[in-house]
Amino acid sequence: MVTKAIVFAAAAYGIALVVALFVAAIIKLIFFAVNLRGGGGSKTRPVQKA
Amino acid sequence: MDFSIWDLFQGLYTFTLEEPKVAAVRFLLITLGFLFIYLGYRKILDPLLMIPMAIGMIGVNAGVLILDAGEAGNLFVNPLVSDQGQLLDALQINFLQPIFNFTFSNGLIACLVFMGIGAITDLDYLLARPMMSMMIALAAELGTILTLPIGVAAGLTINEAASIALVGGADGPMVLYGSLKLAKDLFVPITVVAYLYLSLCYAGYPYLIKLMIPKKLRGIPMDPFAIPEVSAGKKFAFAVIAMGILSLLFPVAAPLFASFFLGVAVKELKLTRFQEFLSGPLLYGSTLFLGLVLGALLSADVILDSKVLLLLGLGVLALLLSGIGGLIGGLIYYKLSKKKVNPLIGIAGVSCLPTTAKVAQKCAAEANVFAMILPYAMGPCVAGVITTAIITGIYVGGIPHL
Repeated sequence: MVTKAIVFAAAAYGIALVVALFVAAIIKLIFFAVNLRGGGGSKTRPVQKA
Repeated sequence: MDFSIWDLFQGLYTFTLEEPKVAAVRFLLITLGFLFIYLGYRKILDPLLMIPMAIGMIGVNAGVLILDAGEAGNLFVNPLVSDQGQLLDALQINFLQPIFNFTFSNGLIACLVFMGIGAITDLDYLLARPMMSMMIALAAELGTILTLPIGVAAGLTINEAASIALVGGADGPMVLYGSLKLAKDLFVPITVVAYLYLSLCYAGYPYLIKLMIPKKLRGIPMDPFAIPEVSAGKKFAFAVIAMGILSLLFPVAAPLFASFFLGVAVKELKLTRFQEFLSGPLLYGSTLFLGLVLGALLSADVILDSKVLLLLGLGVLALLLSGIGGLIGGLIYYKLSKKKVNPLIGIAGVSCLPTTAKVAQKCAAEANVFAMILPYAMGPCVAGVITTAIITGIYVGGIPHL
């Protein structure tokens, strides 16, 4: 049972890694799509002077 | 007239009727309740959760009386009742029974808390640096992954081990949801252990940080104004798309995803009335009843389960391993960024939104008063909620088929 748990945990981590990368890719895609549309782009916050 | 003075003071009388072991544990839980109230009052433990939980603990263990059937019981809640007739009676007698049956046993309370958390979550840095945030958060799931086989090796079933391993994700609602789905018999001690340790994170993690990260690295400053501003439209688009895709991938965790991203969507769409409701009355009302019902479920017979001691140990181990994993992730990004990233943001990947991000900021400021890393730490912290929900989905969906 321990071996089964190790295999399952390793597989779970692998799947979580793929899905996490997928979520990060979705974010990049949204940025790309919105920027392509020309709206809601990212900009650096204005630097506040002391 | 068959009347004894003890009929008036049944809370005390029942101590003499019970087995010495049960009576001793009841007394211990009442004392522990007072200790939690003191620690909550002194803000050593999170008072928002600990005060209602401790009140519930004291009430249910002190307020034991002789019921009609001649057995000892209480008027708070009976989690073991399953027969329909008995359930109907319990719903009319026990004052917390409706909350338990209609919000706990179906995971609703976890979803309500998640809606509130979503409504106060700032996605800016996650969206500005998605890859780094997600990878650090994944590194900080080390405890969630390793505690599963360790728990099985220690004698738990794989369902129970997975439930306690979720403590490593440091999200109370997720542990509650996962343990209800995987190990219903042990969900009370597992959830109590989780919330107890999560409220200790703020005090405990700084020691781990000081042990693993040299002071020079802890004080690395990061420019908070260099974070790109992300429009509300992008955050809203991410919330709805991510909710749809993650629900498609992990239907068992779809209620959690829907609840969290509903809160985010409401915030980003600036539906002010809804946001005020979710982040105020709903979040705090749910937290109040979550604590109260958890405390009321913590009766002597629950604690006498031989597995509780093991759960206490595995809970600490899960959080410790996740903290180590997160800090290793932070150190890797420190190297990859050519020493520009403060490795402390790794601890924020453990999640426990927003406690670990605050821990990172606190430790950075102790090493260098000009180090402002909180906005950066919020990225992995929010990503940690998503990675924990993903792993919860994999555990809840996959383990019953093993």
